[in-house]
Amino acid sequence: MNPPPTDALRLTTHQQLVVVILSILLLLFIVYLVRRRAIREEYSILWLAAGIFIVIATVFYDVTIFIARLFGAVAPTTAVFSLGILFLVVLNIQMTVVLSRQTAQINRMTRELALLSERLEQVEGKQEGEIKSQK
Amino acid sequence: MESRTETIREAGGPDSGAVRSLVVIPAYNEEKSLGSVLTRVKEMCPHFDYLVVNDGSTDATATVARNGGAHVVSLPFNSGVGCATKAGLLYAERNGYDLAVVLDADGQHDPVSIPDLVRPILEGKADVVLGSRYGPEGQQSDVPWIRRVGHAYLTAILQLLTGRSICDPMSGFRAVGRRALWFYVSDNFPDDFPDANVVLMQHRAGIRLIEVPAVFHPRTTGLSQHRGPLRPLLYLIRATLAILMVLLRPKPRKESLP
Repeated sequence: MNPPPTDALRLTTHQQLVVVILSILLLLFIVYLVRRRAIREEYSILWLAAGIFIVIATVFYDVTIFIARLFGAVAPTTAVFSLGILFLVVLNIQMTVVLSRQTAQINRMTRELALLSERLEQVEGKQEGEIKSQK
Repeated sequence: MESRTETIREAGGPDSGAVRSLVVIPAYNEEKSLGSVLTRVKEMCPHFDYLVVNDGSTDATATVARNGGAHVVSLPFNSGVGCATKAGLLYAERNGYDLAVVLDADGQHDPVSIPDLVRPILEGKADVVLGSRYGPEGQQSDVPWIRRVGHAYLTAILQLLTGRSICDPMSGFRAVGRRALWFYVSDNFPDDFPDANVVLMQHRAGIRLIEVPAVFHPRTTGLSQHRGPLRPLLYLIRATLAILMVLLRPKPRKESLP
């Protein structure tokens, strides 16, 4: 059995305030980027969820302690760091998936564009030839 | 030599009418070697059409190709030999060619072997023919030992998985018949890492693939992508992973084309 996290591990109001302010700044920054269309909405969801989760986990610290117990972690800090790393890993995988899909799409468009340009040159060359022969 | 040329004349010549053939040459900054390669190709296959896929070259590759009597398809930026090859074969497929031969622009693949590559397809014995560095009498002496070990390893794996002996699975010198073109223009053909895994993919797709000895030359310009002591090892690890991935995917099917 894991010993329950002691009160010594609880956050001070000062600490909670700092984390909440930082998280809200993060959320606002994400919303700002989405509003400016610098981030597509589909990719912003993961970030917004993370920001909201940090606020909840800080204000309702029992949630963090509950998760720590779930993980079998003694200190809530371990659980917080583990979750943070997990989040970054998931985000990175998502980025790689998006990047791979886009590379495939770009390559495909590259080929189509190249073939179309060649075709256009052929057609235009033929037309010019016809115009010259008419004269 | 005489019979080779005749086969080609009959097959691709204006008299036969039926078979339309294309030579595809992916080229990235190959202005120095491309001209002579094109001259040789035209000598060997006078009735083929010629296509140079200019892979975002920054030199005069496209001009050399046009002056050499080739059609030119230019990719807007450098996208890699896999992407360029796919573009060339897409051109062949869209324009109704019956077969396409792919060879390097750097002069490594001797066009003298094109008739040997094309013949099994014309005779209906194969859908894809790979040109091999290794002759029937054994290994070619100028293949570096480290590459030979790599080839032997990949050959063993492919033998195990397909029951076929492909001695030079990394060869980019190939002839592709109409019956196999769908595969090369589909998503199945990877434009990032096309090599030994493609042999296995084609086997699984029911494409009849064989290998014939071809004439290779050491490269005269440019650098090999497999230089350095560590690169070949990393390459083999990548190739092995790529082969495993093929086994994890469903078999490629013609119907699944978008």
